[in-house]
Amino acid sequence: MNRQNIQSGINKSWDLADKLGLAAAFSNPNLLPLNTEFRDAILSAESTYIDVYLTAMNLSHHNIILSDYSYFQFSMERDGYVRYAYYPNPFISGKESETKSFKKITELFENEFISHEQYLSLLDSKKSLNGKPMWRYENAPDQRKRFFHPCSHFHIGFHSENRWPLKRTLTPLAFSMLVFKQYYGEEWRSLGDDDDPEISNSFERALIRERQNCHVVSDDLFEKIEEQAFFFS
Amino acid sequence: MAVDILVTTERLQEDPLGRDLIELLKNSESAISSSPSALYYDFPVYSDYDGADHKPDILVLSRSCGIIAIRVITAIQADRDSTSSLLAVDDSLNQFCSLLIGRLLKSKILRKSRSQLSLNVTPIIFCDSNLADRIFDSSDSEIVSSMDSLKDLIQDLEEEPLDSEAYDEARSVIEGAKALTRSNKRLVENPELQRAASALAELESEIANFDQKQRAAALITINGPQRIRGLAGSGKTIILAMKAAHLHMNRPNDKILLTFYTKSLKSSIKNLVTKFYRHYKEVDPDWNNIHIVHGWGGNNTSGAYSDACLRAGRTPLTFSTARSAAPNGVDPFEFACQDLMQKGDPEEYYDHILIDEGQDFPAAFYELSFRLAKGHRDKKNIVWAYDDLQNIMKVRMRSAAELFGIDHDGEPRISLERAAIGLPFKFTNDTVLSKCYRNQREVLITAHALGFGIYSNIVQLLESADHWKDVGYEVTSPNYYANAEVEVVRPAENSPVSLSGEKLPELIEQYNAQSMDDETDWVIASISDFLKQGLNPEDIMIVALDDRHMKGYFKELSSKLANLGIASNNIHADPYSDPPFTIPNKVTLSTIYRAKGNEAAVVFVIGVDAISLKTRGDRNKLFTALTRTKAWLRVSGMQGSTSQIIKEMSEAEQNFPALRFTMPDLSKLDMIQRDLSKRSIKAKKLRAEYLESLRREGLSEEDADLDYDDE
Repeated sequence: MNRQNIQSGINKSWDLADKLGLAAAFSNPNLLPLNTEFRDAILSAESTYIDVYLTAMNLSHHNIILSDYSYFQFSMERDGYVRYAYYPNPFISGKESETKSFKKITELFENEFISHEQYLSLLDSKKSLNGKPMWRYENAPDQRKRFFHPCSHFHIGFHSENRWPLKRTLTPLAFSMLVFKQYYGEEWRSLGDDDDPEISNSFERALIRERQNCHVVSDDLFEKIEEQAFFFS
Repeated sequence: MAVDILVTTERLQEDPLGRDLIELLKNSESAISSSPSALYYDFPVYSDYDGADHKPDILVLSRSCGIIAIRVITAIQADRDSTSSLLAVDDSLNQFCSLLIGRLLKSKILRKSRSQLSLNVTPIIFCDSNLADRIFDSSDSEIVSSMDSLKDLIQDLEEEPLDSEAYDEARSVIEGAKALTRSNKRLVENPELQRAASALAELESEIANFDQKQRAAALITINGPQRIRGLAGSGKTIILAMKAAHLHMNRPNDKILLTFYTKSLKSSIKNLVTKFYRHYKEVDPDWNNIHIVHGWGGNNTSGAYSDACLRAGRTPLTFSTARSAAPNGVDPFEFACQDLMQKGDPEEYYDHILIDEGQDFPAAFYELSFRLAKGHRDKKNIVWAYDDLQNIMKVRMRSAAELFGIDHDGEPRISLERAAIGLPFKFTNDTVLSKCYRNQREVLITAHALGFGIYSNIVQLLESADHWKDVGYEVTSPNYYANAEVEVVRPAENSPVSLSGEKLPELIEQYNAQSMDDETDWVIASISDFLKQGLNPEDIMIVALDDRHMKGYFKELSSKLANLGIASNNIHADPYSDPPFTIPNKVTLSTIYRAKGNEAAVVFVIGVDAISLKTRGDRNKLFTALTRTKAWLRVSGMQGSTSQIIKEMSEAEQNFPALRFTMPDLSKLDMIQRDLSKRSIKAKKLRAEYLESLRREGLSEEDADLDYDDE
């Protein structure tokens, strides 16, 4: 996958977020450059997920912000090495009641019932831990080790040593579609469901089509023998 | 030519010889008094690698004699003190001069060659003892023992005068304003094509210097309360930062508090203090003794209030607890401060308290500051910077007595007049800064016209000609009472920052759009032009005044910017941390609340249709938004109030540099506003609708029973 493909994938992800009513801001249409401050935060043993989330937020080091203050990062650190990440808002647990309370405070602010400083203070006093795990995708041919470090893989959660192998290299759009489907199922269903006799959701059909653009990893980077273990197809 | 004299401490009272010397330097016909010169007493202090401080008693910078640094030793001292301690004085003076030369050499403008200055630095020991020559026999300093010989020496020192640029530069280095110089200079590749960038580069390269009032406010240490008033952009924050650094340098063991209202200001204030401090010392400030904290503080962050709670052994109230505990209509912060003072006993802790954004704090916070400051009431070192036109145009400023309240004996706790009695040397504890360094004159006058409503229904106005003067205007018409035709003019010298160059983009432009799409297209096209003219994305700030459509605006703008490959820094999109206001290569998108205190070269004020021109609150917002720009201003909206705003702006332009109006009856104005503002019809209706929607969602009214924080 080249830079241009990824760039266009970022644009498509934004359009889809918009369609789903989840888009808040298209902060950067370009592949994210290396940001040393962010890198240091993510590599530091002391950093918690909240630290990392806030660092990128603070530095505006993201491509797309969603309306719940989650965001996406898309980068290509060297040729052939891509990294996509979804950072959920750690201050919304995903529980309905909290999402509601968050929306209420935001609305109060937007309707000028509370000042911005008050808004921040209210959010600050309602910090609790998130229920959604962060989710990253990496394609790292040069780091590949049979069985232990798959070329194309997911990291699920903040822990970085878990690597879930994929047999395809994901496009940015495929990645963001998976995020939307898994984490924003309500929007995915309510806006996508239709009467199609076989696959009764337009986003699902689009995801299936996008899968065609996710090329199968070459045999030397994903060997036959590895297929005997579990992997995402 | 008057010598500009700055006595920074009260020590001069006990230094008759020093006073005589200053008189002589000021009055006698000499090279010093006949060319532009500045004289400092007890300033500046530099420390060497060992951490020892060195300062002259008197330092003179003059265009014709360069710099002379004087230490004064009286005949009595010369008799009494040991030779070694007298020689140590001389040694320290020479050390000071070396340090000063080192600092001056950093400036290209002041260098003649790699290691030579284009001006002389002369150390002088002034000792009126007959033994002076003998004691300082081997000294490198000039030894002077009488006023006459000092005059002769000055005559000898006269040389080819410094040009005014070098003089300004030397002054900037001595006073520390040099520390404000931008660290990364703007590069303009093609000045012919990139005219906007080139004009901006010129604006930014002007030598940073304090004006006379700023200098006095920043560098003079007054014992007792002090107020600094001024418009946004008059340098109040800089002065407080300088003051904090300067105090910390001179009294390293004193506890200093520098506090402010807007959370996002913290890092910039801390940077300023550090820069100023490091201009004099080789190390960072000792943060144990100088506390730069938010007024309230957060869960895990310190604040003036929360730190005071902890010292008093009490758990600080959070915003939400204070909000739910406060009686209806009482500001939560007011409540929290009162609560602490009633239930705890906040101890006197600070030697100096400096309050920025004083207009935003409730009275109880002032009272708390009063309790936290050490000393007798007239000697409490509390300095508060106050913008009487910021919050925004609260036309009547709260007096010191109103802010700090009344003491046990029925007297005001703080009275500037009372504390001023006994201040020496024409020191003032009430400074008014009337020059504005942020905005172009055209922009500022337009902003004032709109903020007051000069060219439609005036919603607020300054009470007197004096008040106009404080803000940097002159009332040029004879009368200032109801129904009189009034003209006020802003002289150019009160808005000294001005863009110059040919074929620059128009300073101010407006657009009345048909739709959000149309409006954002106009903004994007205009941004595109500015970028072509060599500006960087971070030079551009977009402030949305329409809170209700803010998300829509920012979504659309960020998306359209992204189409052009431009990233944006969406301040609104980060409710949790205090993001830097500007990030290289990103256009800033901000709300008016976050934009407060910040600035950019180009400011787009969008969504002005949401402004209700009848209310002070909304006109104030407009005023704040318009005054964020250092250079260019763009204003747009979708119909509604937009056309009226455009009309008022063009009238302001036609009347420039004056504001012309028929004086309204101020008491009536207040009455109308009382009706309109706090419980404005719009707000009432909105609120009712909102409460209804909350109820439908099963939320209690109490959850939403919040202050409507308008004027």
